[in-house]
Amino acid sequence: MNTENKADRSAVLSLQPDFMPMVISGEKKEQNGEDSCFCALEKQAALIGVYDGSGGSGARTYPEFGGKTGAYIASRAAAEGTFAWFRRWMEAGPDAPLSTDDLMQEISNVLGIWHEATESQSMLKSSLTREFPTTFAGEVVLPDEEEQKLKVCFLWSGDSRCYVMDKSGLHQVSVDDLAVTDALQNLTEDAPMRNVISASHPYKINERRLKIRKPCVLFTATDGCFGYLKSPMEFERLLIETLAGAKCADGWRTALGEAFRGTAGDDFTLCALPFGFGSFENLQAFFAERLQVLKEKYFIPESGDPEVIRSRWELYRKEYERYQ
Amino acid sequence: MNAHMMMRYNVDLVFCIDATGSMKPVIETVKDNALNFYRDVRAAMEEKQKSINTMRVRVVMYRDYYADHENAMMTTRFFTLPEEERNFEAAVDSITAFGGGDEPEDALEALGYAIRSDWNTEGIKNRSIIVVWTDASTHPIGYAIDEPNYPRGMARSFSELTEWWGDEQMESPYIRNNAKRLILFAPEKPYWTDIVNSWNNVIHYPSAAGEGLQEYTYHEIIDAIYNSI
Repeated sequence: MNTENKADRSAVLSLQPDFMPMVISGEKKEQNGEDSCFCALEKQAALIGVYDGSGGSGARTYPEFGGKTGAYIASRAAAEGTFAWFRRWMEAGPDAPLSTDDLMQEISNVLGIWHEATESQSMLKSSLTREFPTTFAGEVVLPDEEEQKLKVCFLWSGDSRCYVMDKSGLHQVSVDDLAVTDALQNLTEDAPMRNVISASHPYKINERRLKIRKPCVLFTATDGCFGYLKSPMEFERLLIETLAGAKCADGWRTALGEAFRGTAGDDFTLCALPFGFGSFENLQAFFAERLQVLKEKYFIPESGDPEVIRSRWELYRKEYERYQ
Repeated sequence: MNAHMMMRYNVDLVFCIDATGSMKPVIETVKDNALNFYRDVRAAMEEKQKSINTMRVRVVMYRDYYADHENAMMTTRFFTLPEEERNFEAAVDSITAFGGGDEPEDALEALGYAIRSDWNTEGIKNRSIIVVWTDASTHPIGYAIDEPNYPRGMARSFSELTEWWGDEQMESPYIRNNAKRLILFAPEKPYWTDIVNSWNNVIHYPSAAGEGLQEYTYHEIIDAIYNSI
């Protein structure tokens, strides 16, 4: 694993993903989903981002904004800020540094516009509530001088996640901004968020810059995708099992959407971008062996015995947390 | 693959109701609100597919130890809902507003009782919710400590009561940090403002016992209760 300080673009190298960014999303309440996403694919850089407006701390509704909640507006405003940042960075030329501070500034600017346009006053006083709160998980992807590698800048705030999936399985790169950071424990605890983007409270966007070896699939996901499963292993299994059963990329997208609809008790959004497989068939074949490993080594019985889940997780997590 | 893990919550509610004479004009509304509150929490959670494993509710009715002596505090056990709904309704119905003496009441002792409730800590996810309805400020805790009916083992100071509530750094011995929520329908008076400024997981609707509460604000409170934060 190599790290570096910059993720600047190259004027000559180009990105070649196997297909366009794949987006899977669903709403629990039609027209009121509090997730959003932003994806961009340029010749020299790509971005996949997901946002989850925080329904607990952002439950306030704004009559002046069509009765939408702060969470609904925040996830879209943050996506708009990301778009502005990405476009500005692309326009600045190949030597322009990728700056997380600039991203925070752009997002804060857009949230600030909404905040200033707010006419109503909340009647509540609470440390629980925030103005326009949202999580964010994004990955900026750049080609590397070494053809078999990608430069990836992982960005996150809150409990949405950045993942890489390669031959050794699924790896969570982001570290949840929660009081508890154990991915299994977080499925059963309701740990409060320690950092989340908002218009009213200070926040940070975490970043991690890595070189990632191809072939790999890059994912960003909101907690509706992984938070309603029995274990982190089952999330990987769900990703690969739906891939194995699909006939094409679109079929995989549909199958994943159906799977999330069946499991999630919340809005869900996942973005995926594969590199280095060459074709969908190769992508499928590449993970066929991994599916067997998951079924045999990390099998969770129907009873869902917590002791068994914990022991499998302890075995699994070393690789899963490899990039953290 | 049976991947779906049902989000089953154990929800406990403790309603602290000021039943002093000044509450007379609003006591029937507060009683209605108490009866509706648990139904609204349940409906909102079910709408979000957060299924409720058990829901229990208890009542802490309070007045003023100096003025009301043996009528200063009435607590019930937890009633399991919906099985014991009638018992809960009867307990709420029995509340009448009288007494109270001076303007501040002994609400902090009521909070002490509420925090030390026999919370359900079993199961995967929990909510331990305390709701206060009052139109008055509170005496300092221990104000009536020399009254014969004053409870033994009560927090000796506001600092100790704050420790009973706990925070992220120092977990309460009585109520789980991730599960707890305190909802105040109370005026901006001592010690309510101190609580909202220094305790975590508190939502304060500044008012006389929730008067003038608009529907969208009410939904914001309900959403903040059951959602993760």
